[in-house]
Amino acid sequence: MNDNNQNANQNESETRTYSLNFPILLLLIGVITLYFSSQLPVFIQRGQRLPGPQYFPTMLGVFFCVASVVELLRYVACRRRQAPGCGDPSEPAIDTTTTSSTRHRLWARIEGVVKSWGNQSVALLLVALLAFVLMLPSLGFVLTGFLFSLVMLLRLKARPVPAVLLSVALVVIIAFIFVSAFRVPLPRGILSLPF
Amino acid sequence: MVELFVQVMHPSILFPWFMAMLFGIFAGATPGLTATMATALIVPISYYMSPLAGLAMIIGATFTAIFAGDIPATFLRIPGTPASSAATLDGYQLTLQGKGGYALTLDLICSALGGLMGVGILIFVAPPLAQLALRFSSAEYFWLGLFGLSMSAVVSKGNTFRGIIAACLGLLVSTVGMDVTTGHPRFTFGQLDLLSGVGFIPAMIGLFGLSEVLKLVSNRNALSQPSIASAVKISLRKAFPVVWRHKFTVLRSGGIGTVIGALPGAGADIAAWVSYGIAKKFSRNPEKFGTGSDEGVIAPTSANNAGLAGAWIPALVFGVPGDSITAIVVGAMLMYGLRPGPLIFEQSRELVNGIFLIAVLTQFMLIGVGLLGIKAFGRILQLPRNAVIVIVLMFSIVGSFALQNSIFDIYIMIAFGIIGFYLEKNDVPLPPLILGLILGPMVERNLRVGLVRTQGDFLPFLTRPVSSVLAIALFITLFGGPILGLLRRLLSKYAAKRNEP
Repeated sequence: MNDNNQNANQNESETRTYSLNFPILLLLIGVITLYFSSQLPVFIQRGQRLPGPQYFPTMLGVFFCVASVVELLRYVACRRRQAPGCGDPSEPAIDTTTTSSTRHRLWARIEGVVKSWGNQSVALLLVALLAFVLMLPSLGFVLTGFLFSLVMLLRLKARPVPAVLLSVALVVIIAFIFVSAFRVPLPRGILSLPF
Repeated sequence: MVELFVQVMHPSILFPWFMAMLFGIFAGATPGLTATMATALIVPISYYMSPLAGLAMIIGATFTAIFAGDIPATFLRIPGTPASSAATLDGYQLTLQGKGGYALTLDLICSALGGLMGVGILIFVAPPLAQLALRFSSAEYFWLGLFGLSMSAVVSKGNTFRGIIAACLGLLVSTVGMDVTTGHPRFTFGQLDLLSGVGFIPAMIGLFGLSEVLKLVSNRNALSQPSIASAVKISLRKAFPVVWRHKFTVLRSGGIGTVIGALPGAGADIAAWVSYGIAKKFSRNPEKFGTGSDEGVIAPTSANNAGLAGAWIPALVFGVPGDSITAIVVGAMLMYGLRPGPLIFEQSRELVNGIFLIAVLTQFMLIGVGLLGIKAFGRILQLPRNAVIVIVLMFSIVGSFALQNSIFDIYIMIAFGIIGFYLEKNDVPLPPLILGLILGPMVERNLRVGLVRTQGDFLPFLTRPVSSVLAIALFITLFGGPILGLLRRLLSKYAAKRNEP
């Protein structure tokens, strides 16, 4: 399993040049930018229409639409050449010898994405970050910071005792630097410690 | 001058400056942490100090980090920062021959000398250039901004088109908030926090701090630690004569490094590669390059620190940063209430002199701190990777919060971390994005102010002498390469046809 994962990782690093989701995203950005730009007021001075708030974003919106088409064409060209590097960057390589039907393949692909250690870690980190920000006002910096640091350290294979020690040290040092030295009011929350 | 020296040596400046240099050693020598990230993490701390102390921290940390990046490059063939990739060649070969400590001592002296040359050129070139820049109108600034953006797109790794996409994404983000000329809110969606725009500091911490951490976390192999085998011997006495013998290589590389660094968009990494190549061309024994030659160590390491100094020239004089580090510097200066540009040389002459003095002194301090860093490198590597990751994460969170005591800014940081991670997976370089974010208001304001002044006529943008030169330079930057390639292909086809019968 471990080796498999490493292989997938290596493949990922090579096959990430062209993927379909990138041009789609660019198109979305372009269209959304154009829509909201069109809502902005026009700028008229002495009866003449001059570049106003919508001018620059509209230019950018048009650029993103054009860029999306260019990237799409490149993707199609790459697929047609069947060159390596037209995969989806988030797709791990799949073993085509064991999976036959398309449905199977899709399933294997999803399973690969979900099961990859790296993706799981990234997801966990993002969830932990969000939880950190959400709990910060009520629990305060000391508690949330400690919990966050501990969870991440354990996930990244630190041993429990050093992980607890490092988390405590880190929280205390940061609180000291920012609260005592710079007078930044870090949220105190339920713990009414001096910081 | 003496007064300034006393002011700079005051503990309130000297202490954070020195600490920042130690931090620079740590960030530079740890693969995965870059000089840019070090700067990004320092800025929120420096916000609470005097501008000169803040800038001393940034200058100290970056010059040290660029050198410290060479330490793992030499010992382990892993560049600590992108600017050190050219140092993996001969430096590592010397390590294999058991002369790693010697290579790094050479490296350290050349880094300080290269930095000194770059700073020297900065001191002499910047003021007269600022005099010239005083006569620039909005047309010139518009082109200058665009030129900087396109240069950064062209030179960053990956393809140019994606670099341009990154730059435009940065420009788009910079339009969020109150419109630069009319004050009308744009893309704020009723969020009061967005009225003053997307915070530059949290965005940058996300792009260079969090996204880097996401990359490390997603790769299990990156968590295992490399080890360093032999004890390190350092001998300054052996290294000085070698540097003296190759003084012209140092001078040449320092000069090239400064010029390349001063080009908007090109930074220390490119400076190092180019001067390595040129040193090989000029060398009496080019065949030794790549096998552990002294010149192969001297050339890139003098150039990368010189390049860092060179990047300050456009940043200070025009407010157009030369690379992602000085992009952060420009952002930080705006935050301190300073406006980089030609006027700063008249309005805050004292501060500019202070920056120059600090930059010069940093090169001398670098020798001491650097030696310490070489000795301590084994210890730095023993720091478990997971601890480093968590430390960076915590400082990213608190740093983005601390500037405005705003939880909203933490969300911005997280969002940009995800954006940066996604874009890098799709081969989109990040430096043009950060340059776009910084240069966006300047480019847009100058374009629109210029157009309003000319009643919507674009022609004056092309006919003023300096702006026409800049426009041509922009055209060559973007299309010069492809056109040359096309010509070459046509010529070779033509030649093949002629040879056929």
